[in-house]
Parts: sequence; structure tokens; C-alpha cells
Amino acid sequence: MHSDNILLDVKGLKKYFLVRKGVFRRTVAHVKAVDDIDMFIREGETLGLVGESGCGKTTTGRSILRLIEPSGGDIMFRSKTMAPAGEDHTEVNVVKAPRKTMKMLRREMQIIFQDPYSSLNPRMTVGAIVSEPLLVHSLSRRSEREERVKSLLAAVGLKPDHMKRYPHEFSGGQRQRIGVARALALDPQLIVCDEPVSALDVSIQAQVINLLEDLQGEFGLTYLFIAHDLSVVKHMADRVAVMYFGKIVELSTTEELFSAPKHPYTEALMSAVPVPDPNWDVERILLEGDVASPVAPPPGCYFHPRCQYAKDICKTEAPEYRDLGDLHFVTCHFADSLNLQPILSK
Amino acid sequence: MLRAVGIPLPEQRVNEYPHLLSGGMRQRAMIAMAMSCNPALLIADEPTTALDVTIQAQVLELMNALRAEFHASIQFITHDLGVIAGMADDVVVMYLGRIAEASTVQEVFHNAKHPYTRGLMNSIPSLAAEKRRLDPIKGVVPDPSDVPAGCSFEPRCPQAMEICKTKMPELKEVAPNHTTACCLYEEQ
Repeated sequence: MHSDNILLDVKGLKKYFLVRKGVFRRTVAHVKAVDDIDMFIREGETLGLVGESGCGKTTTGRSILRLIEPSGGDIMFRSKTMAPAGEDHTEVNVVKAPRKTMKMLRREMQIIFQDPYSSLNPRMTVGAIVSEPLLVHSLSRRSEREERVKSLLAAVGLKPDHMKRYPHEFSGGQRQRIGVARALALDPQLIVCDEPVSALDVSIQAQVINLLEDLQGEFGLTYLFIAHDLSVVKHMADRVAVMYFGKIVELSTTEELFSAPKHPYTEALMSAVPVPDPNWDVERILLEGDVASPVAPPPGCYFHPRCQYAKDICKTEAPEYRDLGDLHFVTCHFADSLNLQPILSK
Repeated sequence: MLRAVGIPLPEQRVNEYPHLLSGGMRQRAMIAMAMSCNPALLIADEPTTALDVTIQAQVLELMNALRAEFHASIQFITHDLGVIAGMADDVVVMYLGRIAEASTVQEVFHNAKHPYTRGLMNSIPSLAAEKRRLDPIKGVVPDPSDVPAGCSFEPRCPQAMEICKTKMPELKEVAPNHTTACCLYEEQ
């Protein structure tokens, strides 16, 4: 159906955290941080992943790289390094990969973290930080390594003499560039960008966004772009997945999602985003209340207590994640019949 | 007061401690504290920056409603241009401790005079706009202990002139009710 150029295919991914209490550390509850999600990413595209804090975006990104062990599901990755002789690539299940395979796969899957202050070791020089992946994977000789680091720094807009400096000598935007250079060091196919610009000022944010776009073109990168800022995601992504409470509630192309949303949560989220134009006049849909407690999720559809279109069935039956056609996925009983308010570009 | 700021079950909440409340509810409680003495001016310093967008929308709506009800003025401090566009009547743009530009919200967003204001507007992706390449301000904000001589924005300004390196521009009225501090608008 959609087997064309799929780099990463996530099927039924789950991550449950256990809540333990008492002397015997009995498991008293599960928190379903990521609850049975399906999505795929094509080679060279950017899939945006949006949602509010605590909805499981970061857990999803980290589970894909197995920085957190998933509780269930399959993650099929089209690997180049694991390909048998004579073939370009082969499908590997990341979830079931043994340690050695995982190390090989990590060359192809990298991550950029949100906080450029805590994700760089303050005791290491920039040169050491950027060349560490090369060392870990023993991929180059010392003499080549320095050249490689220089070219990586140049690619992200830093100078060769920055190699000998320490992270504290750099601003937030420059540090994020160092993090990007480190992620690029192994020539990966996929980069998980976990809120890469959230901690930056707007003018610096724009510089980093432009850099990520340029690098994607230059190195043919595929991004999973995680962010809570819908404006940034709309700008970056080819397709967007909206998460609520550990589930994907809607996934579609960026254009389709913004011009014809099918899930009430997507509609409400979009209408709540402040638009930098005083003449912008959209009817704000104010969601009532907060996101429910993850330990005791509401029965039926998780979104029903805040949904203005909720009917009786939503209180008892959880909707299926289904394809409305044209790979527009949605998790709502009434996705076909609701007429939701789009965001139209002027 | 708790009822006025929309906290559910106020009779019960009034005896609870802050850690039992969610972020949005805590911010509501803060607003209740601030409004309790009927102030004429409420200074709100990034009141919604830590909140999720749907909760932010609730808090902004609440502040607008209370402003009307209590006839108070609000000084709203934020880095989020989207929030400003939705909330403000008048806008002051600051850069390195000085006012760069001040006018009505319409003027600032649609007829910005200062290159810094224009740079900010070009840096942000907007839900309402077609996709275009972002045009960020180059460089970074200088160290506040080492502010450049002349106009403090000069090293990053795309329209910088020779005079900007030495002359600190004054805040001047360039249109009715619209002031800016930029050498582009200084008369020779």
C-alpha cells in the first residue's frame, strides 16, 4: 500500500511505565506514556510530532532509538549498515535487535536534544564532543578525525578554531549547532529532533530551523521532528502526527491537516495557537479543564471529557485508529461527519 | 476570588496547597492573588510562557475578561509575538535595555519602522502564512556588559549606516502615536 521508500515503520509501539508503591514495590498502576501507535516515515521527509506536554512525544522519539526500552510493538528500520553483501539495505526490527546490531543501527539513527545546555558535556572540548561518535564506532583514524570534525563544524556554520573551546563559551544557538554536528558525525539516515528549537530565542530559532532545512537537502536526511509549537511544525514538516494522551489522534499531510482537520483535538489545538497578526480572527475553541491524569485515564475516548462534540458512545467505547483514505489517519468515532474549522493561509 | 478566576470547586480548593493544582490552575490562583486588591495596573511577566497552548488560551481569555470586569490596565511582558498580537492594544519593543519602537499593535505588526522589529517579524513561522524561508536576524544579542558603541543594534542590523556606529539614536515620533529609535529616521 505505502511501501514506497519507507525508512521507518512503527507498528503498535507501546511504552508503559510502572507506578510502584509500598515496601515491596508492588506495581499499583501503569502509565501508558505511549499506547499502541502506528506511523511510518518515508526516506527524506520530515514527520512532525506535536502535542502538549506529557502526551508522549519525547517517549515516542526515544523509544524509536531504544534510548528507552519499548514495552511492545515493532519498529522496522531500513538499514544500510546491516545489509547483506550485494544489497543496498535490509529491514531490521529495532525492538528485537541484539546489542551488537543496535550499535550498528545507532550509526544510522541519531538524536538532537531539546536542551543545548545539558546535552553537551561541559568538561569536553567541542572537538572531543563532535568526534566522540567516531571514536565509539572506531570509524576513523586520528589524522582523519580532525579533518572530519572541521568539515562537520563548517557544515553547521561554526569555525574550525571552535574545536578547542568548551561548551560554556558558546551561546544557546551555537550549542545547538554543536549538537547538530555531533548528530551528523556518523552520516545517519534518520535524525530524531526532540524540540530542537524550543529553548532558543525567536531570531536564533529561525537560524537553526534554516540550518536543519539546509542540512536535510545536503545530506538527504529524514527527520522525526518533535515539537509543541504548531507554527514551527507547520513550517518544517511534510506530514504531521498529533498526539494526545499517548495516542496518535490524527496523522496526515501538513496541508491536509491544517486545511481539513478531522479530529476535534486538532481543531482546538490549532485555534489556540497565538498568531502574530492582530487582524487574525479565528473563533477560539476553549478546551475545558486539563489533560486527565495518566494513571486513571477516562473510559472510552480519552479526549471525551474535553470534547465539545462528544456523544454517548465516546464515553464508553474507545475509537479505532483508522485510515479515512489517502493516508489520513484519525482516532475519532465521528471523523467522517464532523465539519471542523481549518486554519487557512492568507 | 477563586470563583472569579474560574477554579472549579473553590470551597474545597481554598484549603489545598499549590502542589495539588495543575500549572494552569496555579496561574489562575496567582491571578486571583494579584487581582484581590482591585489594582489599577496588573503587571504580567510572561504569565503563560510555561503553559501548554490550550491552557494558555484559557488563561489569556480569563485575563481579558477580568480586565473588563475590574477596569484594570495590564502591562503584558512576553517574548511571544503571537500572544502580543492577540492581547495588546499598544506595543513597546525593547532591545538591550532600550525601547526600539512603540506604537499601536496594528502599526507595530503591519507598519514596523525599526529594523529590529521587522527582523523579529521575519524570524517567526506563522500558522496563518504560506510557507516561506525564514529570514532571521543575523548574529546574537551582545553581552549586556559590553554593549556596542552607537546604536546597540548596529552589528546585527541589515540597514546599518556609517553613522549608526557612533550615534545612539533618540526615540522620535515618526508618525502620529508611533515612536522609534533608529538613525534611518533621524533628520540630518
